[in-house]
Amino acid sequence: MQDRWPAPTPDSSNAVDPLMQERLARLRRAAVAPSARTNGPANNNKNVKPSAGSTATAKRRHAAKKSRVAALAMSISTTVGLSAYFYQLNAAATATAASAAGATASVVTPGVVAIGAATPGASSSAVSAAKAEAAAATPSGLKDGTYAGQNSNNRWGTVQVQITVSAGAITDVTALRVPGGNGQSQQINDYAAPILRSEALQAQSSKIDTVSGATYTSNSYMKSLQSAIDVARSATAG
Amino acid sequence: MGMAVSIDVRDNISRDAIDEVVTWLHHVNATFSTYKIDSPISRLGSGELTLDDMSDEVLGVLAMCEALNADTNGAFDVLAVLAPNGNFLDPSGLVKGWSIERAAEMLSARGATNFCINAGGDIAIRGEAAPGQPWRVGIRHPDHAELSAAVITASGRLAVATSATYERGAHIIDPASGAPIAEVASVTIVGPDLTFADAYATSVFVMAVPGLTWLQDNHPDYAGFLITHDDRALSTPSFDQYRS
Repeated sequence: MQDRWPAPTPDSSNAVDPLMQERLARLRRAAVAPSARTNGPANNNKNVKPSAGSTATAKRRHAAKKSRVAALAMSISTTVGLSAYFYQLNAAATATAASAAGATASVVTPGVVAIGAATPGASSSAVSAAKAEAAAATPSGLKDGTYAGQNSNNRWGTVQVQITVSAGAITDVTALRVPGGNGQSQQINDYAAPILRSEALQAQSSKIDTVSGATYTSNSYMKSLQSAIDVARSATAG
Repeated sequence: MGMAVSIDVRDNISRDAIDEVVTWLHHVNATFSTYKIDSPISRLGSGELTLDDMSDEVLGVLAMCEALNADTNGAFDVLAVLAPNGNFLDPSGLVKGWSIERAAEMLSARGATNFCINAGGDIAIRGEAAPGQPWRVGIRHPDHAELSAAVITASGRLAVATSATYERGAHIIDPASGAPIAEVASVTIVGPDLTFADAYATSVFVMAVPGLTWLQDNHPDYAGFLITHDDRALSTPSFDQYRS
């Protein structure tokens, strides 16, 4: 692994390739006119192998721009390339939603299907399941109105479902709370799922020896937190 | 480099070993800091000096930066970001991890076997926290600084680097749907060498979610953990082995 790059030892003789020199020279010219720099005058001066299908389509631009382009590429690839997978999830979700809503599967809205796609365990929503069962057993036993279920946690996050009852039947099922928060991020998450692990963010307070977190812009955080943690750790380790 | 460094050695070693590391870090700071306008890197960035004026050490670091630039298809770019000194040359994304990895080597050479160096959240660990007890490294929760989003346990040699912006910025809007899309809050990379863990953390942060796939495909000996601003955590399957 180490031999992929020049050995980083201080005494090694290292030659920065001529392209770096060229980039630096262009950089200095650009520094004189910062507005020109924004569009990356140092772009495309490097013999980088073609980024065939790479996500990093934008080179030498501002980091934030690259992020945007990457995100856009991601959304496009999500929509186009992985629609098959998403369709599969939709199918599974329809089944899930149907089981949750009992006999009222026909009134499940497309929105719920999309939610279910990211939350296969959504059927655990206590109230919606109970109400649905009631609807199946005694269709006229439901009082008209809108009922919100309890928050239900699964590995994807928190789900809360609301049903609407009209004339004793469930006429609508909507999600008040879903992991992710919007359709686009659902798709991104779904896209990531087959290759990457995806989960709701956790918050733990378990004992640790040290903490990893960027501090490029928050030195004060680092100083206080790290010292506090170090003190706490010393106290428990002593 | 404007950050706190903690050196936590669990063995009995001579004070000289710590002093050597501290001296080394001050040297790195004097050479590479973009906060000091008189550092060689600042003077190179401003055009006051040229590459011909640089030491082999600086040239070696810049050469590594260029190799990473090609490796990441431009996501890692020391010439793309405005440095505190006002120049567009900032190798800090590599120097931090690289200098701490060197510091860990120095401690090892001095006989230390169980230690942890934390430089502003980038960590090099060796050995164990205590006999039979692995090190436990918390990954900071983006919204709750006192909590961990995940905890890594490891013995032996391991590097943990995190790149993050813990502020919620303006959402990126997807032109196709008009809906905001998930943004990256932090990226943590775990692997053998902090030099590359640090650089990959910066790179994957720029690449966003597809960066994890890039990491998996190109550097399978490194694992990635990415937190989005909408409170989701994505990780490479290889990250599982480190989680407690």
